[in-house]
Amino acid sequence: MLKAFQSLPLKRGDFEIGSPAVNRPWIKLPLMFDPARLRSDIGAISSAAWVSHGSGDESLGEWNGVALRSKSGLSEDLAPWGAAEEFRDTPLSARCIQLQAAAEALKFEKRSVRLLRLHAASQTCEIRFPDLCMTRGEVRIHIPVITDEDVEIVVANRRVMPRPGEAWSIDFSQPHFIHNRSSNDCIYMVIDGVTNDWAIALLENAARNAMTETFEPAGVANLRAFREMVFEDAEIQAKLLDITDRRLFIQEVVRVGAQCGYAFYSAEVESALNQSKHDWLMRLVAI
Amino acid sequence: MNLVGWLPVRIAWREGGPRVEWTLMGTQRLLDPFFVQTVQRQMAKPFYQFFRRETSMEEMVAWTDANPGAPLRGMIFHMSRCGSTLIGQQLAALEMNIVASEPEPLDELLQIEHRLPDLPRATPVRWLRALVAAMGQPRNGEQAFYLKADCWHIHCLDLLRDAFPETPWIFLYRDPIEVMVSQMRMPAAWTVPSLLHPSMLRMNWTDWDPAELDVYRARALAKVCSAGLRGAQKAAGGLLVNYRELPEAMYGRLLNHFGLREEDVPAMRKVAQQDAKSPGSKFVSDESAKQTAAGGRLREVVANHILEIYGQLETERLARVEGRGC
Repeated sequence: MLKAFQSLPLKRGDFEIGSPAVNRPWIKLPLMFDPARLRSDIGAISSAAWVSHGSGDESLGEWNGVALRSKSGLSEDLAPWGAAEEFRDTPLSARCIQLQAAAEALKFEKRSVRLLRLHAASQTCEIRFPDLCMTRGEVRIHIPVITDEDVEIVVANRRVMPRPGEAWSIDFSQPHFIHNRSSNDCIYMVIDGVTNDWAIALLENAARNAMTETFEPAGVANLRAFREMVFEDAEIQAKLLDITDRRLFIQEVVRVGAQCGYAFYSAEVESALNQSKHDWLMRLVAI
Repeated sequence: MNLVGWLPVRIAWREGGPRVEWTLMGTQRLLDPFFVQTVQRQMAKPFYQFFRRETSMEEMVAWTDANPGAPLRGMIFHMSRCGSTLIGQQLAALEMNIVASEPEPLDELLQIEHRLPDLPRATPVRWLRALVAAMGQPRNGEQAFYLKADCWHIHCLDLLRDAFPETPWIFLYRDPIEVMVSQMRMPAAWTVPSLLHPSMLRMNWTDWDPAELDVYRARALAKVCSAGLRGAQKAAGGLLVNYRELPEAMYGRLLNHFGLREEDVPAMRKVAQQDAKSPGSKFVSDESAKQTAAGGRLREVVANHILEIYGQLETERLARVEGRGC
C-alpha cells in the first residue's frame, strides 16, 4: 500500500551538526569507565608536574593541571587551542595507562587531553568559551576522576553532577563555573577533539536517553519473554488465536502467562497491545 | 529462530534501519484479491496485533537461505485498473500457487531502496530475494509463487530483474480512457502525493495541481506505460498484454509464459466469470460504459498525455505477437 515520506531515513551526509540533539548544554554519555582504575593513575603523576591553570586571583583558590596530550608535547602545556594535527602525546600519557585507555575509547581525533585539578575550597570564575561547541566542530568530553558531592558545577544556571567514571559532554560556550565546596581536591579529565560521525552518534544516542535512570518493570520484562516463547509455541498460539474480545484476550494472556511461569498484570498486556496497534496504524504515515 | 508459518507483513523503518514484521499465517492461503485484505482481517483480532514478531532483514535472509520457498514463477506489472487483479485471482485459484497481490512489504522495501541511493545493489537484491522467499513459503504444499506489483513498481523493473533474472514478467495495460474513467470515479491512493511520494511515480511535487488532478494522474500513468514499454524492449522475459486480450490470453500465450498447464484452465475460467475485486459478484464488462462516460475534458487530458505512449505500446505488442506467431 501507500505511505507518506514523513520519516526519511537519516543519512550521515545530510546530518546537520547544529541539530537539537547535539546542541544540548549538557549530556551524560552512554559510556562508563571504572573510577578506581582511573584514580589509580593519579599516583603516577608527581606533585611537581601540576602547573597552575588559574586566573591569578588567589582569593579563588588553586586550579591546576597536567596534559597527557598537548601542542608542545609537554605535560605542562595546558593550552587547548589549535588544529588537531598539531597535538602530540606527552611523556606522562605513557605512565597513565588507564586514563590513556579512556581517552582512546573516544573515537574522534583528539586535540588536548588534560587533567584539571580544583583544590578543596577553590572555585573558578564564571566564564564562557563561545568557540567551544559542537556546532563549531569542537567536541569536549569531561570524565570526573575524583569528585565530591559538594563540588558544584554550574552551567547556564543549572547544577550538573557528573560522577567519577562517567563521561559528559558539556557545552562550555554556555556560562559556567565550578566551586569545590568540599575538603578534597577534585580532578577531571578533559578531552578535546574534532567532531565526527562517531561523536555525533554518541551524542544523539545520549540525547535520546537523556533522562533520569529508569528501570523496566519486572512485569514488562516477563511479558516480553512470554511473547518470545509464544512465537514458537503452537499450542499456546492455538489457545489465544481466535479470541476476538479484547478484554477476554487480555485476561487469557495473563492467565496463560502465569501458567507458564511468567508473571505480569493485565495493565501491562493492555499497554503492550495498545502499542502494537498504534505501531501498526502508524505504518500508513511513516515507514 | 523458527519462522515456519509466519508471513512478513511489513518492512518498518526503525531507528537502526529496516526491520521485518511477521504475522502468524499457519496454513492459511493468500486468497483475497489483495494481500492487505488478508492481513487486515488478521489484525482485527487481538492475537495478531499482540503477537506480531519482528526480525532484522539479515535474520530474514538467513532464515530464507535455509528455507527457500516456492520459486517465483511470474511478476505482474500493470498500469492499474486493467485486469491485473483478475490475473492474480486466476493464479490463486490453482492450489499449487501462492499469489501475493500488491503486498505492502514489497512496496516498503522498494521505497526504502529508492530513498537510500547509496546502498550497494547487492543489498536490496538480497533483501528482495529473502522477502519473496519468505512470502512464498509453501503453507499447503504450493509449488509456485507469483507476485503482482503495485502499478508504480514497473519503475523498479531493473532491480526486480536483477533479483529474479529467470522470472517471466508481464506489463498489462488498457485503453487509457477506461483507466482514467475508473480513476476519476474512485481515485487510487497513489494519485495523492501526500499518500505516495511523487518520486515513486518519477514525478515531482510541483507536478501536482489541485485544480488539475486528472493531469497528474495522466502523466503518472504515461510514465508507468513508458517504463513498461522500455522494459519490454530492453529486458528479457517480458510480455506486453492489453486488457482486451483478457481473459483469453491467460489460456493462450500467458499459460506457457507463467509455466501453467492445460488442465489449469477450467479453474481459471471459473474465476474469470466473477468480478476479481469483489469475488462473489458476477463480472460485467464495462468497456463501453467507461467509453461513454468519458467527457471531452478527460479525452483531451488523455490525448495530451497518454495516447501517444499507448499507441507505442500497441505497436510494440502487435509487432511481437505477429513476429512470434503467439
